[in-house]
Amino acid sequence: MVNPLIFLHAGLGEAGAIAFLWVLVESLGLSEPGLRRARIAARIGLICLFGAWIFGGYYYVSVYGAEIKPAIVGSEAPWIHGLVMELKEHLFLFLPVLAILTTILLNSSAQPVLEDPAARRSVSVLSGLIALLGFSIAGMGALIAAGYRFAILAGVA
Amino acid sequence: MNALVAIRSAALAIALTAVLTIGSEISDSLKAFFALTGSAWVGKSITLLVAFGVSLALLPGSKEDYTLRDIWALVAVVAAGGLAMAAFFATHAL
Repeated sequence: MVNPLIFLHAGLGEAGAIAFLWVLVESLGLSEPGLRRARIAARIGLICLFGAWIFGGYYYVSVYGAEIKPAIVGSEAPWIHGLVMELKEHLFLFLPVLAILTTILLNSSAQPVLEDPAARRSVSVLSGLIALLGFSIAGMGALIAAGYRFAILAGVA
Repeated sequence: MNALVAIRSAALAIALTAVLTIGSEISDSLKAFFALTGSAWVGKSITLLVAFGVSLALLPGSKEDYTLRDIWALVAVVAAGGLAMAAFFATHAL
C-alpha cells in the first residue's frame, strides 16, 4: 500500500503548483477582482507548498531513507536516487522562497501590481517559474515511484 | 516590506542553498554539521529559511522600485543553481 504521506506530499505540491498557475493566468490581464483572486490563489499555493515541504520532509526522513532509497540504490537504476531524487529534494527548497516572494510582490503597496506594469509582469514571471518548477518536480517524483516499482519487480525490495 | 530587498534576499537564499548543497556533498564535515538536525536535508531547509529571514531583516532598504530586470536576475540565479546541482549530481550518479 502507498504511504498516505506520499499522497499528502504529492497532492499538496501539485495543488501549490496549480495555485501559482492560477496566479499566472490572473496576472496576464489583471483587474481589481482578478488581483483579489490572485492574492487568494498565492496564499493557497504558499500554504500548500509549506504543507508539501513538511509532509514530504517527514516522509523523506522517516521512510524514504530506510526503505525506498536502499531498494533504488540496489536496483539497476541507482541514478534514480543519485540524480533524480537528489535534484528533486534540493530544487524543491527553492519553491517556498519564490512563493513567499510572489505573495509579497502581490501585496506590495509601494509598487501596486494593478498600476505598475513591471510589477505585474514580475508576478507573471515568478508564478510561471513556480508552476514550471513544481510540475517538473512532480515528474521527478513519478520517476522515483517508477524506480521503486522496478526495484520491487526485480526482487531488490 | 521592501520588495527589492525581498527579491535580493530570495536570490541570496537560493544561491546559498545551491552552494551548500554541492558543498555538503564534497565536504563530509559540512554534511555532518547539517545532519546535526537529524538529517542533512532538514539542516539545509532550516539554513535556507534562516538565510532568507536574516537577509530580509539585515539587507539595507532601498527607495528605488524593482524592475523586471531584478526578477530576471533572480530567475538566472534559480536556473544557475538548478543547473549546477543537476550537473554535479549527474557527474556523480551516471
